[in-house]
Amino acid sequence: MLNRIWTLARKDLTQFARDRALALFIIFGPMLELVLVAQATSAGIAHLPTAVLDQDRTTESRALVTALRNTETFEMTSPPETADDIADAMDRDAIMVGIVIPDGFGADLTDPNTPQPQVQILVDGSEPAAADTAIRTAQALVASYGAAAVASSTVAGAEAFPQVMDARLRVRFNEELKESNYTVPSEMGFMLAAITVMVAALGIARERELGTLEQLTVTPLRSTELVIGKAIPAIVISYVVFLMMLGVSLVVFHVPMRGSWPLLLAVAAFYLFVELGWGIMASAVSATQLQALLLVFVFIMVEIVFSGYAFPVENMPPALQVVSNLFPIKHWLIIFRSILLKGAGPSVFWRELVALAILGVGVMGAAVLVLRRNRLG
Amino acid sequence: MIERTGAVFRKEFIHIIRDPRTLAVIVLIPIIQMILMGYAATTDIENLRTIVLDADRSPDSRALIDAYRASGYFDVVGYVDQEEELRKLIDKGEARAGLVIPVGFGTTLASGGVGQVGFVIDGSDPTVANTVLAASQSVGQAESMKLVEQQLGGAQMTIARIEVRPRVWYNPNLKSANFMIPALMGLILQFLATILTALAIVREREMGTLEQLIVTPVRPIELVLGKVLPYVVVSFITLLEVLTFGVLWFKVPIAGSVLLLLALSALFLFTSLGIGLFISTITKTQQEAMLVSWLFLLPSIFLSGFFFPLEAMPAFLRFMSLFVPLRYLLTIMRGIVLKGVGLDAVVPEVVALILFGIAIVALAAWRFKKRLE
Repeated sequence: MLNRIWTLARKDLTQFARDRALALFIIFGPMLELVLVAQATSAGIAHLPTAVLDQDRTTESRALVTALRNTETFEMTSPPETADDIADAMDRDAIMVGIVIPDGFGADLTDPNTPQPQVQILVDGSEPAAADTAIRTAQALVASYGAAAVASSTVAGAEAFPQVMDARLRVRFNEELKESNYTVPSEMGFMLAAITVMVAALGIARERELGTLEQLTVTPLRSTELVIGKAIPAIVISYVVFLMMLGVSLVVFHVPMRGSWPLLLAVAAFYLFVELGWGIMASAVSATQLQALLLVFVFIMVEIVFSGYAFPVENMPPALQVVSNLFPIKHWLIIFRSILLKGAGPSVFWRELVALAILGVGVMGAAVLVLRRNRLG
Repeated sequence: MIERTGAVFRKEFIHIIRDPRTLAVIVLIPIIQMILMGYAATTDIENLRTIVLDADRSPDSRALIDAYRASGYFDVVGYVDQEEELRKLIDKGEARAGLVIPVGFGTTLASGGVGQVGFVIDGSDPTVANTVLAASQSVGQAESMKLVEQQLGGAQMTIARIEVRPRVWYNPNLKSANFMIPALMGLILQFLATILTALAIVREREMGTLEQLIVTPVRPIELVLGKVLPYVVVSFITLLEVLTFGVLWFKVPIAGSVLLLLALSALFLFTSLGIGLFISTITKTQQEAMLVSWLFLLPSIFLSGFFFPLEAMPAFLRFMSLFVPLRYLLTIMRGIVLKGVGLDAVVPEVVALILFGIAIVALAAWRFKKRLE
C-alpha cells in the first residue's frame, strides 16, 4: 500500500517540478502577495480625506482643527468655501469626512451663558468601517478638547470639571495595538488555504478531465490510496509556502513569535492537512477543472470572511457562527494567534485542535466515499 | 463574419448548457457570497464578552458595572474573585475584556477622591480593542459627570461642553449590506468574467481543439468574440441576480439610475474579459490559468477598497491600486447605488476604465495573434 501511494505521490511531484514556471509561481507568488496585501492593510484606518469648513475663524476653532489633524485619522484637504462644496466633494468621492465649525464657536466656548457650541461632522456612510472610525475619533477628540478648553479658561465653574473616575487600561498580547499583528496571520491563513486547496483540487479534477483518472482506476490503486497519494505532494508544496510566508511575517512585518516552534510547525502541518481535505473534496465532486476552480473560489471567499479578517466572527449572527466551525481557518487562526501573540500551549486551544481533527477525518473520509461511489475503488 | 462568430457562439453556448452542474455553481456563487457578506459584515462591535472582578461590592461598584453593561459594548459573562482567574480567562479567549474594581472604590468616591478602576483588554484584534478602549473611557467619563452632578447637589452644570453632531450621509444606519452588496456586484463580475474567459480559451488549447478551430475559416477575432460573448451573457445574468437579490432581500436602496449602473458594468465587463483573454495567452494549461487568475484577482480584492478604504493605505499601494480596474468600478457602484450620483460625478473613473479596457484588450489581441502564428 505504501509503495502504491509513494508511486503516485512521486508521479505528481515530478509533474509539478517539470513545469518549472508553474512551480516557481506557486512557491513565490503567495509570498509576494502576502507582502503586498499585508502592506495594504497594516495601517488600520487613518488619513481619511477631510474637508474642514471653519466659519468661526478664531483661535479656538483653529486649535480644534489642529487637534483633529494631529489624530492622523483625518487628513485635511483644501478648505471648502461653503457647505455645498462639502456635499459636492463627497459626491465625487474626493472626501470622506466633512467638519463644520459654525460661526460663534469660539465665543460660545468661553462664555458659560450661551448655549453649547456645536461642531458638525458629516461622514460618508458608504464605507461603514471608515465612517465609524471617523465619528468615534472626532467625538472623543472634541470631548477632551472641550474639557481642556474649559479647564484652561477662567470661566466660573470651570474647576468643577474634576475627573472623578479614572480608568486604567492594560492591553494584553498586542500591547501597542499593532494592526499588522492581527491582519498578517489572517492573511497568511487564507492565502495558504487558497494555494493548498487549489493545488489539491486540481489534482483529481485534472486527471479526470484529461481522461487519465480512468487509467488510474484500472491500476491496483484504491480510493484511499489515491486520496493520500494526491494529498502528499500538495502538503509538501503548501508546507514550503507556509514556511516562506512565516518568514516574511516575522522578518518583514515583525509579528512576534512567543510560543513553541515545534508546536507551531506540527500544528501547521495538521491545519494544511484539513484544508487539503476540502480541496480534494472539491475535486472529487467536480467533473471539470473549471467546476473545481469555481468551488475553490467560493470556498476561499467564505474562508476570508470566517478568518475574522475584516469583521470579527463573534459579532456575526449565531447561525453564521455555527457554520463558521466547518471551516478550518477559523480554528487555525485561534491556534496560530495564540501561539504567536500569547505564547500559549495546547491547554488553551485543545478545543480547536479537536475541531480540526474531526473536520480533517470527516472531510477526507467523505472525499474517499465520493470517489468510491464514482466506481473508483 | 457575423455568421462565423455566431457559429462559435452557438458551440460555446451548447457547452455551457450541456454542463448544468457548472452552470448551477455559477448561479449559486453570488447567492452564497451575498448571504455571507450581507450578514457577516458587521463592523459594529458590541456585546463583548467581559469578565468582572468586583473586589469592592458596594452600590457604587455595582452602578459602574451596570453603566458598562448598559452601554451595549460589554456583555458581562462572569464574575471572578482573583485577578489570576481573570487573566486566565482572557488568555483562553473566553473573554475579551476584564473590568477590575479594587477594594475601597466606593469609599474613595464618597470621600471625594478619584476612584480608579482597571481594564484589561485582549489586544490581538486591534479593531476590537480600540473600540473597547474608547467605550471604556467614554462610559467612565459619563459616570464621572453624573457623580459630579450628584456631588454638586444637582446644581446647574455651567460647564460649556461641546456638542458633536455626527451626520452620516448616504447610509445613515451604517448598514454593512448597503456597502458590501454594490461592491459584491463588481467583485463577482470581475471574477466570473476573468476566470470563465481565460479557462474557455485555455481549455481548447489544452485539449488540442484550438488548433482544429484555427484550420477552419473562422478568423481569430471571430473565434475570440464567439467564445467570449456567451460568458458576457452569463456574467451579466449574475449581475442582475445580485442586483435583484440585493434590492428585494437586503433592501439595498438604489439611489441612482439602474440603467447607468448596467451600462457602466458592461463597460467594466469589457476590461475583465480583456484580462481573462490576456491570461489565456500567457498560460498553457487550465491549472496555470487558474493560478495566474487567482494571483491577480486576490490582491485586487484588497487594492480595490472592497474591505478597507484605499485612503488608509500607504502611498505606494495607492499608486498600485490605480492599475486595478475593480477599484474604479467600486467607486462607480457605490456612487450610483448609495449616493445616487450621475455620470458627471464619476467621469475620471469611467475614463480610466475605458483606457484600461482598450489597453488590455489590445495587448491580449496582439499576444493571441502572435501565439497563433
